[in-house]
Amino acid sequence: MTDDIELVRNFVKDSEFSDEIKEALLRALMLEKLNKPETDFDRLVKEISERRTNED
Amino acid sequence: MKISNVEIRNLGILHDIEIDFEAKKRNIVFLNASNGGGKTTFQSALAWCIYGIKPDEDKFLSSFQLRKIKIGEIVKVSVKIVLDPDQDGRISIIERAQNFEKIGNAEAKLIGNESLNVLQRDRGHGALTEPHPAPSAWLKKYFPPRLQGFFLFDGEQMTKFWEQNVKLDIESAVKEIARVDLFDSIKKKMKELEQSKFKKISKKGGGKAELLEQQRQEEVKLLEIEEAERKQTNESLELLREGFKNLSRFMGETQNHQDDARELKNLESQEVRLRDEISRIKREIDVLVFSSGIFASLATTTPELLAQVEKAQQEDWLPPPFEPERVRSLLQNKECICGNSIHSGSSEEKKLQTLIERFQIASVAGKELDETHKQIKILISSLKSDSRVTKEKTDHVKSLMDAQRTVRDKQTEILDRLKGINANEVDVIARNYEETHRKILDLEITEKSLSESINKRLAKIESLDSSIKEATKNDKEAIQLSREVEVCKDISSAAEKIYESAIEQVRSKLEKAVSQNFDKVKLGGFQTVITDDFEVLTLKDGRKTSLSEGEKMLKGYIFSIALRDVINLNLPLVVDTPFGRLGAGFRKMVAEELASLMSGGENNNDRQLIFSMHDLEYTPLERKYFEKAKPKELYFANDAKSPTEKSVLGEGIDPAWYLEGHWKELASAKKTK
Repeated sequence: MTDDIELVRNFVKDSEFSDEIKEALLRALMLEKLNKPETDFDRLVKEISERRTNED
Repeated sequence: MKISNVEIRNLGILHDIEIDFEAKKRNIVFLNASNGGGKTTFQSALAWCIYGIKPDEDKFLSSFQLRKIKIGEIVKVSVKIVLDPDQDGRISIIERAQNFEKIGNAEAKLIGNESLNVLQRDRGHGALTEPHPAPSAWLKKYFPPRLQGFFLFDGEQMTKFWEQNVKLDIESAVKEIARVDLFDSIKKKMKELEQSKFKKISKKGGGKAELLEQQRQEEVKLLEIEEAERKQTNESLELLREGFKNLSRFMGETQNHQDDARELKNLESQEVRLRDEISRIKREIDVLVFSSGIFASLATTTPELLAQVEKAQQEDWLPPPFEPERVRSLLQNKECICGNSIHSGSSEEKKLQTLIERFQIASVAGKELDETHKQIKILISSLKSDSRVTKEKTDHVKSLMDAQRTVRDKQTEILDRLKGINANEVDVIARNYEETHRKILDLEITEKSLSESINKRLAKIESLDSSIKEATKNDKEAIQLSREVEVCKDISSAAEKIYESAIEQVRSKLEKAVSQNFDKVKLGGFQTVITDDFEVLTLKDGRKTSLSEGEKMLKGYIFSIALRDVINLNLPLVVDTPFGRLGAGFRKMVAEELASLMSGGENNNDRQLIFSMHDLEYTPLERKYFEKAKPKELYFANDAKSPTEKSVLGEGIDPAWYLEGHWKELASAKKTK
């Protein structure tokens, strides 16, 4: 059986979202899989937001 | 993955059993026993060891140990399963155990927590590893609880496999395969973050922004309530539509029955009308026959009377058939009855005079005879008339009775068609159909109004969001938070879309796998479709088609096997009473197809089927159907020391089975041969 995280990663990779969203989702999946606290998710959101600001 | 060995100690009636499934050589094993012989205990042993589903307490510790155990003694109940190979090609040993202790005179009770260990080693060599650090997680990975219904189940379930309740199992399995729960959790987390960030933004904007945020929160709460209501409405609608679909199908199937039921009612009233009409006319005939009977009895004397009249005529003593007074008057007036004049002395006058004389000289008896003769004539004429009316009425009754017979024949014909169908029930279902339709229309209106309200609320929330942003547009931190909110929204929306797409992908893979396998059984381009609400349909030329009981069961097994292929997880198929109540006619098809699906082949080598059957289910016929797959036959036997417990595993067929039924016939036939 394909490892479940591998399976869901494939779903993300095969999707048509932007690379930024794919990366965000993949990282969120890892955090979720590892049962990380909400602060870790917040950090991820902030990081992507900052990156967007810098790109602008 | 194959179960190569199972050891059961002190569980239920399986006191001390070790089963070798010869997994390297065999794909199919029959683990047979008569009813009450340990089949269910075997299933519950596996369910406990793998899924941690505890057996009922009264069926947990073996009765053998219950009797034997002494006060203060501890007995261990355990189940050990060896997987060789496991999913990763290694050997895994799963062992779950629970201690029981007898304290005082009460029955032994379980003490402490159960233990679970998973040990592994490479195949062929190497020592067992240390116990797996997270055995439960390991088990959940390779034996997903949501797929239990497709791994370890009762065959009776297969006959009901395509009923509505299985949709939940299929939905659950598809979600398990797609691992969409992770996406669902991410979506929820992002929503929570979004809310908390909004709160922070509003705080930055001062009193006005906080007020707007309060309004926003209220709107969000109302939105949640409405969305929950809409979800409930949609679920109710789905159920009603499902019911309506079945009712429509029934209505379609019973369209003829409905027509028949209506026709039957028509015929019943026609029959009542005819019956009444027939009775009325029969009564009239009875009256006629009664009166004619009186006349007829009077008329019985007529032959004698007629003979007398004839004799009197021959002897010429009957009075002439005329009225002498009238003739006399005519003679006096010299006028004939025809209007011509009668001349005196003419021959006509003489004849008339003679007649008058003869009438006068006729005897009294002659006159009476003549009178009676006349009355008889009237009687006979009346009888003839009555007879004609009676005949007409009888003919009418006959035609009515013919019509009644035709009506009754039609009734019988319709009743034959409606055999086993309750015409009243058909009528009730027709009313139910209308009622359900009305409810669906009502709920559709509710759903529409909720959707409109939700859309308005979403627009309001969006406008409040803009207002809050506007109020905080000069606050750098608030601007940053707003950007973060956008990121949260983007991630949660992407997670939701992937959730749906993952389910769609799994559904499509399953449809393909089931269609391919089922096509081997039912040729002719039958297609399997899993609908949005996880109903599994069989289509032919795009239209839903029905399957026989045998085909339904076989498709259930095929679905179960296809599921393994799609997820690449070769769980063994462990089934108690695999044929359930399936008719003997269908068993051949199911058995032969299963044997073919399981018997070796490059792709099927690691497939395993373990069936537990009783003597009425596994007969020499079933043995023949599976012959090609060369299954291993085992049976639970009683321990000589403890006849109520099963501690012995026999190979082949239980010798006790040869003492009666089909196996006895086989044994006798062999002897004779």
